[in-house]
Amino acid sequence: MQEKKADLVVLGGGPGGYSAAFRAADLGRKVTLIEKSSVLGGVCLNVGCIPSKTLLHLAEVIEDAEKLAPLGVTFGKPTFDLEKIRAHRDSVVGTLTSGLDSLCKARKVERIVGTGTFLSDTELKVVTDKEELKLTFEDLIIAVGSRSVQIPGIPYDDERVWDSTKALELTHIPKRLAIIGGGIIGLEVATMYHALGSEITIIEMMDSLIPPADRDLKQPLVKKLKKQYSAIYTSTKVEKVEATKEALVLHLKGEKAPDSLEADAVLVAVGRKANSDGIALENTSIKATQRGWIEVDKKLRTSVAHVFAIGDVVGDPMLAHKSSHQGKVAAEVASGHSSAFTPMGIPSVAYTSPEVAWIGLTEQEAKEKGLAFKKGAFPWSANGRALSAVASEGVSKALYDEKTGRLLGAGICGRNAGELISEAVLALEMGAVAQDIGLTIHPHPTLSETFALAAELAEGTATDTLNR
Amino acid sequence: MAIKQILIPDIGDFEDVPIIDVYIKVGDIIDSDSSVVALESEKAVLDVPSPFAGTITKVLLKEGDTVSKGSLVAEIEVASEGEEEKPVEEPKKEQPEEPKKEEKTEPPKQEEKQEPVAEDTQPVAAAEEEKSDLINEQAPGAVYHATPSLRTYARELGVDLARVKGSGPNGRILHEDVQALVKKALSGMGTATASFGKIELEDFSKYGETERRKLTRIQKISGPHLQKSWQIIPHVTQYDEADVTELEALRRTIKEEMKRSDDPVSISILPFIVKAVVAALKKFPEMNASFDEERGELILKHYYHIGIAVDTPEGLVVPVLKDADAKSVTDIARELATLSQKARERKLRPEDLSGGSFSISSLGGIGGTAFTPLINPPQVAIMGVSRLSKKPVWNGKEFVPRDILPFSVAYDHRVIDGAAGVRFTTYLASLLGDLRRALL
Repeated sequence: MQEKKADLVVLGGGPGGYSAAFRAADLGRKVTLIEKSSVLGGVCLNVGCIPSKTLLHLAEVIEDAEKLAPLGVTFGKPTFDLEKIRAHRDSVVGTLTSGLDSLCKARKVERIVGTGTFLSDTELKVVTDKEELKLTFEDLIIAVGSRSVQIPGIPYDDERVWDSTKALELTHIPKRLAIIGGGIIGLEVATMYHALGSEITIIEMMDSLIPPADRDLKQPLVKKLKKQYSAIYTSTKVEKVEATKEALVLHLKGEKAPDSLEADAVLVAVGRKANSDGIALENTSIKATQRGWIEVDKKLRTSVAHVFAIGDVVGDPMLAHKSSHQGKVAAEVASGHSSAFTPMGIPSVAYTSPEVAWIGLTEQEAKEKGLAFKKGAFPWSANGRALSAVASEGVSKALYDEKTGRLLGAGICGRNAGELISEAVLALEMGAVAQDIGLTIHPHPTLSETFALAAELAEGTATDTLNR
Repeated sequence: MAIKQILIPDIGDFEDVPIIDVYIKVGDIIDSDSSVVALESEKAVLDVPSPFAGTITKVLLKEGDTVSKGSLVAEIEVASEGEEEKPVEEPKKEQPEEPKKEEKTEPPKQEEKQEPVAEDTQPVAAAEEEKSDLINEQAPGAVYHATPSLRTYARELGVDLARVKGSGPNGRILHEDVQALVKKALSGMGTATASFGKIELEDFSKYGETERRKLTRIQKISGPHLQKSWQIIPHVTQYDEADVTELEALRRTIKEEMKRSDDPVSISILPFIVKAVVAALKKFPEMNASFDEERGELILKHYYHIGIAVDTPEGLVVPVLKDADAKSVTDIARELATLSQKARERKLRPEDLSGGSFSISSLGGIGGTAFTPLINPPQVAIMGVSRLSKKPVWNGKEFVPRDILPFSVAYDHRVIDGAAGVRFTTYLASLLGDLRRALL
């Protein structure tokens, strides 16, 4: 086995890994980036966030067009050329990944297409399709990400059983799509395929969809989905999935669920599992939890001081924007800076229709913490822009510290909630109080007004609705 | 033969006082009352005497260590009898391992303090370690708020944001708050680190012969204090002169009377000046005050403790004459004599040096026509007294010889404006001209 020395190694080329690599290179480190795929960007860019958004955009336009019929504007029924849709998806992904390639080159980051497993706290075995080599490193950042969790009782070999990657391949449009898991990924796939004509059934083990979000926040979405979809079964378990020639038969256990139901495809989206099991951690003194989440401190150091871990592999929330920020912090700490990962919140977004986004403490969490807070919730049905856009399903809500008035958390459900939430994130990090937000003039008419109006409601100064 | 312990005696309300000199070494034969170590407190140097005579067998402290009442300084083999103190071995045996922790919280007890001092360096090391690990997390709903850039800034400076009080809107921590804390911490370090830079030296031997002389201990201690005063306080000095012809006549009369008294004391003009100053301070209370910068408030003192600068071979010290308003001129004269004596013999105790609300620096005994005294913070004003001399004064018809006392008052311009300053000196001059006015 050939031996080589490396300065800073990044294991994994997803959003966290490449951010770490680029930041470290900018700080003067000699960086080696190891990624098993020949393209950078990981799940997010290649088989996750980005391709899903190209498809969700179609879904949005299709739905908007349909909404215009009662208003007097009628389009013909849409037809789908799946080949073209896929080509569009691939070109978006291609544009972004080739951009990463050139950024990588410009920063003189050495790339290895291959896998890395630990030999010890300071050595890595790297396997490429040409060679095997032993890499001795000074610092290493683990950014190996996560994969879909598989639950027992499901014939994963069957073509009709999908994970999220498979769903985004868009090979065909099944007539009946059953989705196991009513979280963000499951609902986004449901949104896409519903727009393309599939009949959707959702089975969720917990008692509500998108479990972490507050009930009143997701209510506009849930209400709409109940109308659109064939069925939503919460508090329901899938005991097993049987593959017959004609269909997949799901055996369910839940109070309101039937014993079984048939589907032409099944998406399993019940969560993600850290990829810490594929890198031979047992050869190191790096510690991981029982769930396989690598333990790190706020400086993202593992139990081995010169080894860092970031992103999905350190646990929830498994979100690209968390990973990229952590990647930069790890690169900085490894390069002797005093950085730490201390966000007040990491925004979550479900790109459903309507979208659901939230930041900071949810109402449920604030109650659990016993915090005294005041709340403002502005319904979009009273917002001119929302009504004009036929997007009145929505609510903007925010929680403020009872005493200081500081923003504790916020949630927005409605069109473009994922964009709108950023204002709340900024307000949270800046320590804005309800009055600050209410007194900040928002343009009218906009959807963004609703966040300011929620603040005014909490303050009792709103005029667009009655103050409670 | 018995081994005795030399402990730090009650040195007043002071703890963790640094040792600046150790006079003894193992094998030294000392008398009782010989100084064993020198302590630094506020502006004073305090010599700790040995209660025993004998031979030093062990020295447990070194320069730079800090001590409190009861800290063990040294062990001494005494020549004879006197068994009222326990022999040294005994308390050691009695003492279990645990008290290490207790010592930090509990005031040290006379005999328990067996393994002191060195420990004081440990928390410092721990703090250093913590600093590199500072996180400065900001949870929603936390008592303080700092933005992401500020969290980064504070980490770089090693400032724990939980220790910073935010002065921004809604208690938000500002960059300035972090800077203020760092500055405060730096100035608290005392010595040269507090200065804003240093003066470059050159190789003077190319110009001629030189020799090096160490600063006296008092100079070492007072230097940073004076520098701080000079750098932080915007000084204004108001000069004036007082016609003290009548006062001098009175003083000479009293001096003559004193010669026949049972308890004679030499009376200089200084006690009269103190009385005049107290009367002037009563009229101008902002001169007898301290400035609370953080709260933007002036703290007026309803007591009149006058610091008197005393020249000693080691340098200048400023013992404090307490409650000068309640003391007679002769009392003040006596007390000044005692304080000066103690100062010269380096026997001033911390309480002799603390609590001053206004200071007087009198250099008139040596000479000079005028000078600018440096304010002694946290006071806000100081009086400088120069040499009294006979001067011809025009009385409207002719020049007559009068006793003229030149003096100056330096004050903190942040809290006292020029008009108030000159009103104070004018009033003080009139009081010195005729002390009966103090009765008005």
